[in-house]
Amino acid sequence: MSEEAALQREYYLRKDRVVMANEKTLSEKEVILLVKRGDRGAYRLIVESYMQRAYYIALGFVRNAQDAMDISQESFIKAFRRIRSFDSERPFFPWFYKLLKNLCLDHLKRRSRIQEVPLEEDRVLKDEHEDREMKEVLWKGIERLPVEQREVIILRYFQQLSYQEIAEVTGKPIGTVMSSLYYAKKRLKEMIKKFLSSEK
Amino acid sequence: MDHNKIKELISPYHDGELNEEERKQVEEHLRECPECRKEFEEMGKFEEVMSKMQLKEPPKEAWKMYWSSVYNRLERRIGWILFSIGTIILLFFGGYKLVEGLIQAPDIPLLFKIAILSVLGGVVVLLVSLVREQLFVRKRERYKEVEK
Repeated sequence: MSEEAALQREYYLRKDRVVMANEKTLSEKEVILLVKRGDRGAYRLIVESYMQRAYYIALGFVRNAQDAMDISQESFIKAFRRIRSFDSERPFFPWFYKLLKNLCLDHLKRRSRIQEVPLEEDRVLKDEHEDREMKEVLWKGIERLPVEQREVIILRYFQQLSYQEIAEVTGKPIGTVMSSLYYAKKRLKEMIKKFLSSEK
Repeated sequence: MDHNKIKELISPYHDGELNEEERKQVEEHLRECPECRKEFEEMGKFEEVMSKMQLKEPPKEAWKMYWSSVYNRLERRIGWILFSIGTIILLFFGGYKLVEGLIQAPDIPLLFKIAILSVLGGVVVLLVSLVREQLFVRKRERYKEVEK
């Protein structure tokens, strides 16, 4: 009997949840407990719940679609291998985010070591004509921000997380999140100002 | 609250992240301070551009294939680990037998024996050095332990 079929004797994987034979939906914590028992079918649900978020965060960091896809998948593999050390009383994503962020930073470090000349990066922004040049200027500015400022900008604007959620995901106090955002926005606003004055 | 403190609150005010009291303080200050009003307007423009910035979506198939890619890579890694363990055992066993046979062979000249043993010894030292360097680099990886 295949692993999937054996799994379905106990529960069913539906589009966005795990359902027991008695129709009870499992919580994330219960799904994680199944994963801790080595259940890859249950892990699929975790991966599919967070894959888009993981990909876009990685894209924000590494600015290359293929690398972002690889790194986000690698993070899920790493998370599966380390899942036993994860405290299932806590939410999964903040723990996973740390693995993902570290892999992104390792990748950037490796890339800067290998390439003296900056890589010609993918155009990762959607091609929309409105304010296009300004968006490009802003995106370049985001790339140049220090990591702690870049990450709050990515989580705030590309994941639409609230300050509280950013604090939970990054494990930083909300005051630190607020000040990182303040300084990041300040720098980016300066860039807009310069851009607008050069346009005149 | 002083001017500079209020200025820092303009950004969370825009994001709707202030409590009732802080919001009132910012609104009151904005009525009185032209500099902060300017800051508020600039923040508005900034938020407008940022809200329109969107990252490119990958092709839809990428999401459909995502889990199978993760699953295959997980499986492949287990395969590699087993393969590596087997290869290491075979290499050590083969190396041991080769050295044993070489030492005991009466018809091979001593100089030739020394040369082969030297090459083998060199390969082992290089391998150990390479592994040690990798482990050292990993331990010193700058971002490895970032906020674990």
